[in-house]
Amino acid sequence: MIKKVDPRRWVAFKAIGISRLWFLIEPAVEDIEGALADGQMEVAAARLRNTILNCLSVLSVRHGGAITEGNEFDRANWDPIFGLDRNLVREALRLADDALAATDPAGKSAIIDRLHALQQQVKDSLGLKDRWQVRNPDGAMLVVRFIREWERQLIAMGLPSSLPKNWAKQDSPR
Amino acid sequence: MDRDPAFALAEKRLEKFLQSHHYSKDQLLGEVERVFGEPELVVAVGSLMAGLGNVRSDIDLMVIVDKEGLHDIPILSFPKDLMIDAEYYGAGDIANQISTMRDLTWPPEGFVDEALWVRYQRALRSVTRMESGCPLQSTPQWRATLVDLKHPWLRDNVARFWRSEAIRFALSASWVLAEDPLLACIRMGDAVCAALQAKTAMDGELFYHWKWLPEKLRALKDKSSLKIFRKAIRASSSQSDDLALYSELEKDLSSLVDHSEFSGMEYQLRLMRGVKLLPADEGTLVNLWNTDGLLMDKELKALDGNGLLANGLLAEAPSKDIIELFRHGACWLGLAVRKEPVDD
Repeated sequence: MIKKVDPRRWVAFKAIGISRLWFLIEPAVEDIEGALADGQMEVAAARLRNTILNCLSVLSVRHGGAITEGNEFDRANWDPIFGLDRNLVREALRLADDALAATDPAGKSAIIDRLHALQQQVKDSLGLKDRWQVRNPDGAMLVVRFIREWERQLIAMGLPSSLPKNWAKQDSPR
Repeated sequence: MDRDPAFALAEKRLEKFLQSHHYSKDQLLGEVERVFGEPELVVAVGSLMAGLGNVRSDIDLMVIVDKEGLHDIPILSFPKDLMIDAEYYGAGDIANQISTMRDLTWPPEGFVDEALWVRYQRALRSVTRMESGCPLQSTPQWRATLVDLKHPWLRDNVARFWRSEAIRFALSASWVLAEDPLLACIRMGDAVCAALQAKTAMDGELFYHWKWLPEKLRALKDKSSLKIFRKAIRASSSQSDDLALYSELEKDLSSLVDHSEFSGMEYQLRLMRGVKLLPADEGTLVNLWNTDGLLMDKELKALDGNGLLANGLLAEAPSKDIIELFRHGACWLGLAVRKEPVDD
């Protein structure tokens, strides 16, 4: 089966998506687990809201969302839900609301499960499947190589780097 | 090192953390690399030092050395069950960041662009981390600098930055409200969070990272603000709920920020990085990273050499076309103090 894609948009989606998954979403999931474990429900909810928006932003890049440089966003100028179905967005954001009410262990565990499901949705959309193993050093090294591969494609197309400034080798084009 | 009242609280927090991990200050200092030279200053920083954090939080070290070109070089180490993230900075770089925070009140006068905003925000992050930190090793000069960060000038500038951010987010929200009420709600929620950051800063909680905002409010026993915070991060359930929530958040913002403080401000919209204007028979093609295009039926040119597309007082909204470009990520919104023309 052949599917027609815009190559610049496709490369941007893959590179930006993988970068955000590694640098923003993965560490945030651990933070959220920590906050829930410590009973800091508002911290968990706030971090969830931001992480959900980061997850949605990856899906958004595929649907015409902004191509951004690096991974520090100016949120006043950033639309993480561009091109996405509003019901999908509301449903995802509800997870942060529900975290505020999840005080018992079962409720907290359900929040984590739903977060993992959203994270998995992002991985699936990027076609990662089994290629994403960050919980052991060998897997993590593979992921880093993978990030660099897509970054090279991105730069070759004259698009901005998706890596943090101290990771990016070349200056992105203007 | 002798106890210094300026750092007593941070020292107490550090000792508590180290004791719980059976670790000492000397061992912590031993994790500092000397490859960049002997440090002029080593400060234990991070959320725990600011009285925040949780069971998963670790200690970070800011290490300042007399070397040019070093900027936030991170080196991780894992002694015992700890993760220590040491960040290495050049002394000149950090001194510049402190000067930026002291000498530049935000918003800047006359001109603003994204690069300047990023520079200020980074300075704010580094300097407020240092402010709440616990010095482990320092020259007398750096120690005096750390004490100086405890004075009201830093608190006032941090709070003003956040109030200005609240206004910028609210402006950004209001411009997209008609076309995208859900996005407007998200941005208005961020505006309220920025206003709460300003409030906590005025109460002495300067730590930058917004994720700790609710813990700062708890530490300050500010229950009414915590209630507002919970509303600000709420998700709306429908389009009509978007509008109702937006309106409530707008009221909350007005209760937190005195808009008259910003009456002399203007917005500036500048071309986003990677965006180019190309003249076309039909008008102008706005080209975003050679990947997307927006065709305007009129001629559009930057008003200055720095990509200024529009500016005006905060109460004056830009034209519909410009707002449409903004909504599509073609221009960056910043605030500046309006510079009155000087008469000859």
